[in-house]
Amino acid sequence: MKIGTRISPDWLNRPDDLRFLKQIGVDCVDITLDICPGYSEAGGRANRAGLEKVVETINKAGLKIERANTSNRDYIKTFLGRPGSEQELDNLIANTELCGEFNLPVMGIQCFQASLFGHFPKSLHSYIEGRGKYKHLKVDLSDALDQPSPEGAPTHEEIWERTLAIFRGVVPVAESVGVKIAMHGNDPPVSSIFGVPQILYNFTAFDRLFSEVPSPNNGMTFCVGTRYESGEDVFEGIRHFGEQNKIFHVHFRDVRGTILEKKSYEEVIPDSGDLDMYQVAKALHDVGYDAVIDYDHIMRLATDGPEGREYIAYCVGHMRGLLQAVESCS
Amino acid sequence: MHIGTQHVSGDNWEGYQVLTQLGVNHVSANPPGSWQNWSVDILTQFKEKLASIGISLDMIILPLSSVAAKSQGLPHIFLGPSSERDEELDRLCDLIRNLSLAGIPAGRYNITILGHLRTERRIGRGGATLSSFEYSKLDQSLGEFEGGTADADEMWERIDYFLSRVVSVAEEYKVRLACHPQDPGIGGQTYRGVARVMGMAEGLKKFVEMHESPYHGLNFCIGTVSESLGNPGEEIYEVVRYFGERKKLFNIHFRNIKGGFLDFVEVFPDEGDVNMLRALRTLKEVNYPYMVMPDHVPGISGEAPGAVGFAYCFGYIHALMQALDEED
Repeated sequence: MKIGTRISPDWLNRPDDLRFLKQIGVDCVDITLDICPGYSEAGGRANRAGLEKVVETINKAGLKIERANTSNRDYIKTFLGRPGSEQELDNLIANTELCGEFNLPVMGIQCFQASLFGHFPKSLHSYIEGRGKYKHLKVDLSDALDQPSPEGAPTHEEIWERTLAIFRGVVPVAESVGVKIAMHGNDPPVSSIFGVPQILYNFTAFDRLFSEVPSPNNGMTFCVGTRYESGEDVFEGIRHFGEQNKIFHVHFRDVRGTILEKKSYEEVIPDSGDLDMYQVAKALHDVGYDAVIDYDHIMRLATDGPEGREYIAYCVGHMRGLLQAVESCS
Repeated sequence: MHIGTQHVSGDNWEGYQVLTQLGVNHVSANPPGSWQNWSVDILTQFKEKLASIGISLDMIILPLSSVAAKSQGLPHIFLGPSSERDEELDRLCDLIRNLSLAGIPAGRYNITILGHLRTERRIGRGGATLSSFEYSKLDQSLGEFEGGTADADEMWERIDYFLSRVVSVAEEYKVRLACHPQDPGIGGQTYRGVARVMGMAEGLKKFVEMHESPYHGLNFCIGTVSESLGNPGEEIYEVVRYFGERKKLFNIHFRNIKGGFLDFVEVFPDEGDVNMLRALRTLKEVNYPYMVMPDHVPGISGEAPGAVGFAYCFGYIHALMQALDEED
């Protein structure tokens, strides 16, 4: 397995900050395509020169791009059934082809999130104090579940149809250019928030996505945190999807509490949550997963800057220790 | 055993807070200000203030650090007979008593005259700069040490005198004295006329047998001892076991190197020749009960390189400790 991290877009202009990742042993990075010059201006479509610049900068620091992510805002019209969906799909296909051209192994396609429909009447997020008073995210869904659907919101089946339309358009292209499409799924993983439906919130939904658009290039970002939050068994999920070679990328994040039990959860430092991250790493290893694990969200430490270099270093060290231990046992 | 650190000290309270955030709750740290003012009250207040934020003050560094003797708080202790030596030893014994009365169970120190020796830094992963040593590049033009040469016999005599003064006090006051090896050992040779008998495993074995006591032992630096071995990746574990089984390990510097005797670079713990998981497992097997701490870290780019490097090490050590727990 390899270790990945996200990067701060402005690090592209500050080579020291990219080099620090390589120095602490990071292998790969995750980018969002909107960091490519010209992407946003073209309405969510990368151009060759723009992506080339990003790839070159990252390679020069000794790193490789593992996953290029798209934003669900890039195909919001499709999800909401508004005019312009053809252009969005065309952009996604062009992005896929470009990722193939630069040999980027994985491209992320996001699902429809309830937040895309509009602002929630009440924030789900608060920041609470953890170990040593570091601030971390708490997501509380106790008022947000089982609410009536607001007027004009798409139905579950509509979201399915529109999501599948995207996948039916993109996946064959991904196959032909050798790019894997990784679906992260909803975060928070629930079937609706304040009545707005979401579809990709459990293992069954991923199974449906993979059976409706069957392809070795149609798989998932297995977000350990999100999958745990849902209340489903993370280890069963790793076995189930890993054995089918559907895990293309892993978010290696720890959580305290599940929605199933408490309707809330907290995102915490990886050695301090409910999950035994050694066992998670071992399960991934046992199922033959050999791509990237990435710690995902950043916690703010007392002396850390906004980019979280100390926190990143801590997580990378933690992942490296777990991987070496797991790999030495086999 | 538990994770610890020595890189936050004095009144760096924000630094201590980050330690608790990263799950590091044991330290070797010194109160702010000169050691000459470390009364029982000052030591006690410092220990209590750390305890109030969840940190246990397990150890301090005595005024015998890793730098050259002339820059030490107590510069004459290893320079041979003198009235200054005896006065300094009296003050050291007073400090040991104060530690005891303040409830601080251990002090670490170095026996060194010339300090750590290093040659030009080398470049590592991603352009990190690495503390390095290559014996053939050591500056031999400096001549004999101006404070007087000392061959191996002379060094052992001085060490014997030191131990004869402090070990009984440590034992009476139940304060563990943890000696750091000389970094690096250069075998039987001298440098600038000074032998480095505490740089080799054999020297350390002799050392712990002199004035043998449960309060006389080692701040065992895995990095430094590896530097004295021909093939540390194979040999270090049995050295750890030797001292661990004899209960002579009072603190562990958890640092890795590439290379070995007379030619090495310090690297991040995950990329060196020593299998750090195996080293930690050996410590566990001998029921080592104290701190395991990062020591030095490679020079990395960007802001706050030290804090970032240590954070990396804490994550790494946490992971290895967890993996070992899972082996049971």
